[in-house]
Amino acid sequence: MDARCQTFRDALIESSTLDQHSSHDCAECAAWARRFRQRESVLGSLERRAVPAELDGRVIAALEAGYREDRAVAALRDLARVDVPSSLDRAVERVAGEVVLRAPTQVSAPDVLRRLVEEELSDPSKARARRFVGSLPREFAPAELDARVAAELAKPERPRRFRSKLLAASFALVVLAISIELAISVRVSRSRIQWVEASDPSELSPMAASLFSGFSGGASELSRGGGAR
Amino acid sequence: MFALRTQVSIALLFAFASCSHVVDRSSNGANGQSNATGSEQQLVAKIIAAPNSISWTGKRHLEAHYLSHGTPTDLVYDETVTTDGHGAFHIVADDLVTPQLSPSAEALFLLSQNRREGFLFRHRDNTVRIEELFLGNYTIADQGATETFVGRDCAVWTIASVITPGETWKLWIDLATGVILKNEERDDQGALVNSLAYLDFTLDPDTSNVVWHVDPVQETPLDPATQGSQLGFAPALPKGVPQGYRLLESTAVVDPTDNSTWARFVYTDGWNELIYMDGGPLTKKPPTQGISPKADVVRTLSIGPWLVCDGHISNHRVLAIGRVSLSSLQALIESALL
Repeated sequence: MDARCQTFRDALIESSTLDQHSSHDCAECAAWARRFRQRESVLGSLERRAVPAELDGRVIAALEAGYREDRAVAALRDLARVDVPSSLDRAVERVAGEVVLRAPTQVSAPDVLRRLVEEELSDPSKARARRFVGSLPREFAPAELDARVAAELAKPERPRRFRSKLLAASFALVVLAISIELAISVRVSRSRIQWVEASDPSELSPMAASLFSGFSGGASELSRGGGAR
Repeated sequence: MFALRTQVSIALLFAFASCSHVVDRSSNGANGQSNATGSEQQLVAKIIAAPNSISWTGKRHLEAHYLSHGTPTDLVYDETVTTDGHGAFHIVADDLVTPQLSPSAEALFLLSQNRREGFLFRHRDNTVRIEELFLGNYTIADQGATETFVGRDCAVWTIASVITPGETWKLWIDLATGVILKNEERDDQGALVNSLAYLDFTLDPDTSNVVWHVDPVQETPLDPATQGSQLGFAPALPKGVPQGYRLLESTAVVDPTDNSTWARFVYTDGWNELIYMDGGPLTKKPPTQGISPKADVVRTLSIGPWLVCDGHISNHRVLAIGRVSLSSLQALIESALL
């Protein structure tokens, strides 16, 4: 069979109406064409079977962008573990030496480091602020302030009426401070959400990507990197 | 100094009070009254009833012109819709006109459109959802004269949102059936944003060979009294929905990818819809580069007028989709979970 035979056979497969005698004279191909038409006839006479209803869904699930990560994970899980040849072990041992190989099992990060890393990760802005404030030089009160405080203390005791007013004002300040704390806590709890702008539907969960496609009439799939491209 | 602190404190107290105060906006629309005439109200009722009372088929042409990542983008395609007059329907995507994709990519897009026909018919297609809410939140300007479109006598309306000035749609509504045969949404500059137009329309077609839509996901209505046991968790309901919106339906939806159950709440302003979903306790947080695993993360994606928020807050999976501002969706989510 040469290249012309292959061309003839490809053309016959693509178009069943091709006349096999018109442009190619080869007994082997003629026999192949007869067998091909017989098989085509037999297949054509078979009863047509309905495609299972869930096939559409499975095809979409397999092809949609949101499932790529799942497929990648599944593919990695399916990979067989490759055994390392013993000669590699020996070579590594020779180069690195026993001390280096044993070291990782003996050394561990101190607890304080673990705690600091956790604090850094849980609230990076707070950790940065703490570091920044801690590195600032300490400012001392001016001597004038000391003098004024001493002068105030040296004055005779205030009347009782003034003290009651001071007490009431202090109480009001405490109430205000609690209110402010509550208000700030609400603002802080809101700001703890990190709103991240996604650039592509594939960054969304499969459920969100699927619903967003429907809601936008398919527009989201045609955006950059969408599933239909 | 003290006076300034007092003013700040009072301002914060008011801010706190306004944050914690739950505004009930589930009234009959923004202004609570309607300018609609009796005949307009009758036609609105027909629009709502059409999918469950009229059997029709027709090929239709859809266009969307929007910004995607700042780039003007066009989506134009044709599809055929058929209904049985008793709630069943079927949509077949026929042809993707724009953008031009490779044959395999176009085939995949059309196949995907067919797959989500239920979502397209129920949520993408513009229609009136709740009569009194629609009449309260939208003004109707009737062109007056009847116009013939695809062989049908149509009323031509321009509806405008009372809540969001500048949001307008022009509708061609079949007077006999209430089917919206054409709708156009334009921006405040008059440029076409979205449109749907029937290219032909047939009443009472032969539907013997139509394969009606079957929901691919398991979805059951939520009973407020037993929703905790239905879902396996107590859903966090939004307390601050966008102005003019109210709850249309609530269902339990099973995610086919992991068989987990979501609570789905659909809100409407009478015309537009907004979907909020609570996926219950998060079993495994997805890794996010550069963000602490303890942080609450919500991703947002905006394409044209459509917006989605997807993430986890207070150890709950959460998802919201709508044609509203980002701040509105953020407030909705925060009101549910914070």
